[in-house]
Amino acid sequence: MTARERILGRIGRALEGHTPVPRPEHVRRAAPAGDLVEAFCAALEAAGAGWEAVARRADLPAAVAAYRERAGLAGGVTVAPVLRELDWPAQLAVEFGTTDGGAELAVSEAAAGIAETGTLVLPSAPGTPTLLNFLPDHQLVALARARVVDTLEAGWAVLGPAPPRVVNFVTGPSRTADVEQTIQIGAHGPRSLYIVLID
Amino acid sequence: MPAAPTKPLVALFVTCLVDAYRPSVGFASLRLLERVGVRTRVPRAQTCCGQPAFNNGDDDGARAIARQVIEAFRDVDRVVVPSGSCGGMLKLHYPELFDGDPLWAPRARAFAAKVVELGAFLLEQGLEVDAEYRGVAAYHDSCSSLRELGVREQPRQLLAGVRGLEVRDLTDAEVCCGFGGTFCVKYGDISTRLVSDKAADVLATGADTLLAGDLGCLLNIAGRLQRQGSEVRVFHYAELLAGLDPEQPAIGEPSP
Amino acid sequence: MSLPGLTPRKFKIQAQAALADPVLRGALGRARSGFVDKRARAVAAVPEFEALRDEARDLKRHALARLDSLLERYEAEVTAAGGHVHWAETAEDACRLIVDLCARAGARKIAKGKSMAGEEVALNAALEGAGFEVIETDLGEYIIQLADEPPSHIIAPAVHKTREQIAHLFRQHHADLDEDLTEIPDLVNEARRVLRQQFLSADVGITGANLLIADTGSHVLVTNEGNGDLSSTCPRVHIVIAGIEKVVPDFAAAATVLRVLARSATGQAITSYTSVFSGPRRADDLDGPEAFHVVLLDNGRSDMLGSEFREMLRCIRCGACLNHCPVYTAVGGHAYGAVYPGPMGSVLTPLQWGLREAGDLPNACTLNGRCATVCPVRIPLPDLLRRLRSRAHRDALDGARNRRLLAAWVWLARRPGWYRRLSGLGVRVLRWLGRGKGRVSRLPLAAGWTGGRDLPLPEGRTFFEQYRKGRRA
Repeated sequence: MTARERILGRIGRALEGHTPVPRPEHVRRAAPAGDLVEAFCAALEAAGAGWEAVARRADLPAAVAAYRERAGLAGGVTVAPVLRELDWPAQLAVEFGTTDGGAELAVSEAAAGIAETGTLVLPSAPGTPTLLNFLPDHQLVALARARVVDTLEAGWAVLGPAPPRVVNFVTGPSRTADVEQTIQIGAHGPRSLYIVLID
Repeated sequence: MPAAPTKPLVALFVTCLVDAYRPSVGFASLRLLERVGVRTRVPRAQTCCGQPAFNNGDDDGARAIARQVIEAFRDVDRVVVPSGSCGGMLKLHYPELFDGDPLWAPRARAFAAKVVELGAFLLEQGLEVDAEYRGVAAYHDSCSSLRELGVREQPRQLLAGVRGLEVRDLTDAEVCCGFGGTFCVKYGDISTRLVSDKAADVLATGADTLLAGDLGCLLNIAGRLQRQGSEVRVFHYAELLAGLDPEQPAIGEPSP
Repeated sequence: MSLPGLTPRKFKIQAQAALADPVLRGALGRARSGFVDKRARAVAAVPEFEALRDEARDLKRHALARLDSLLERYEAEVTAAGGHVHWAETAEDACRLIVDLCARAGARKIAKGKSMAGEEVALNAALEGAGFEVIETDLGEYIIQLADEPPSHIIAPAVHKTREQIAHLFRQHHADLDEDLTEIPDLVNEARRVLRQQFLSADVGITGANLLIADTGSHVLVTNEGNGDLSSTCPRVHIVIAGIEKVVPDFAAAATVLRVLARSATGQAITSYTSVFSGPRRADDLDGPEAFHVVLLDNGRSDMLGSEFREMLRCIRCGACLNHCPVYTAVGGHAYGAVYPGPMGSVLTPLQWGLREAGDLPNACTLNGRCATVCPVRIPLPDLLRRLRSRAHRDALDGARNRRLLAAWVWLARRPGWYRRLSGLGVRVLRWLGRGKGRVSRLPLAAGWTGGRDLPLPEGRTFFEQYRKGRRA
């Protein structure tokens, strides 16, 4: 008998004679009152992320350039391949793909935004590599306004029947409280998270 | 033709600490019960609720004591207890002890249904408080009162009727005072730290008096306050509600 | 106090040492107020929180009642996605499996995300013993790794450390650091700088999992730092170690648990990174591990399932019980001498290590019940602790003197006649000892009390003595 068989056997014996326990009714989180996008933006600010709204997807590169200048960054920008078709100005020295740690500023796109908590839904895909969400100091994420949903469950549902390799539910920049229980922004993940909301 | 409803027959569960340490709490309870017009009885065959046995893993011992208690309190309508900790034992843990026992489980459940903490009962019966005590009292909630019996507002509401008394809450009212039955002697150092924090909380309210509904907590906090030289006077809240005998020393005070 | 010698058997001595440590006292005080207040605010903001606790409890009950079929489904889904599932009956098996996996991967350096299951099986010691370089990447775990100490809290492992102590550790261990960093941002940046290189150069990443999701073969990692994600994504091999009780049927179940987990642990509605992983890198992914392994850990859990301690398996490792426990917040985690401290640890440790080794832990509790009021899955911790005391009593592990005293009390309590006589005598003697002062500051056999407190004295005549003589009011 393998360890697997022994473990499953012990579990089976432990459960013998116990009546099955029905699944409880799912308590739905109350949907945020008022406008969903407003609630999303309020929650993401509370989580320490910044945001701005632009009219069109084509406006994204300019928003990135402006952020880069405000933040005083000088290096290149790594952009998720899904945003390749946009008009990226040469001065941004854009590279498409994932990062090996060298990227200072990365731009990606979210599949959804969750108003309940100000959370971005970032699935892994060839067009949206995972490491862009974690290695750079600054991360900008594009999100179509129409993709803001109310709850965590709704955020998962937009991904369809089979989930990708990983879904990062990201809420604000990285942080730690491991030194004297004092919150410090910018642990291992990005120090700054900025959302560009596209109409 | 049905007679006018008779007054409920209420038995007092004295508790071992009240019996040995501070009988005045028991007699104050009787005075208060009389004031609300119930018929009272004090069954003689009671000693302890069995909690020391239960909390130390002696379930058989606890059951033996419990059977004695259930028997002694058989023919009454309510069982009133001037203690959250004993009350919790009687009300919540007696049914647990006899779970699955075809004879004693129903008896324990019937008994438990009758058990009520003193303040909760007096409020329910509409006690009109006629007492005076000039002072500022910090009120300590015992963990059992809070979490086992849901007693929090009732004593406070009653104490609001004591002329001259101002009651203040503790900042960390939810935190244990460190008595915990045998815990306080087995882990004396930890218990002392907990009761020191509680004593500091009491002193921080500026109160000159400490009240609670559990003698274990009261002895513990009084002991720490007095070791620190504090003159805060410590009583069971029932004593104030029933009217304090001026000759009656507070807990830990010498007799006049 | 020498840390390597910590054991549950020496709880009392370890607790005394902790109580005498003013630095620890300050650190614990900070933690206690922080965690308690944050949780309270988070819970107050959710009107349906009590209903969520009920659902979380019932979901876990439901999942445990189908544990075998859920684990089989989970395994099938992980395998279909190209991952591998391994089953470890004991801590040694888990270590052996993981060491083998690392060896077969030709690994030299291992990046670890925080895992209590990993602590439970002493994984780091096994890996280091086998010659691998192991780097803890969670900041708290990294700090205690440098200090060569065990974690003192299940979600904040370095809660007992001050910034000065941390600065000193960094100075000692970081080769190119030659100053004492005093500000918290500097300390965190320094850790970021050093650990960044480790993620990027590690061959294997090992993490725990907060949840396993059966219907998609996924696991969930809940962090704020991002180190768990980096440990899972950068290295070419990712190994997860998780207790078998972590599995839930689907994402909706996971969502409910997540709703109560972060709020109970850190007072956040959700952590910065809540990630759901399903298998290794896909053919067209640009990043992610090439190989993905899950080690399912039993280590006594299947035994607990069939026992009166089954409810403990609901635990989602949030740490709320620790934060609200007056004993834990007075003495800290090291005093318990075990991987899991506080209320949940006082239940788990005797179940995993035996009552002989850990029997003191269930006793070091006032049974005040605050832990149970904050447990997100409503585990009746005081009841479980009492049941452990019953077991200890039944197996005569509770000390001869205690048993004698207890038996004497029970004997007496069952005989009201004798009880009256002896208690009447006893209170007279105590009263006499006090010589009219109303209290004593010393009493034989009661040093535990009188060490720090006076002992108020009885009135001198028992209630029943007076009642028998006719007093009624």
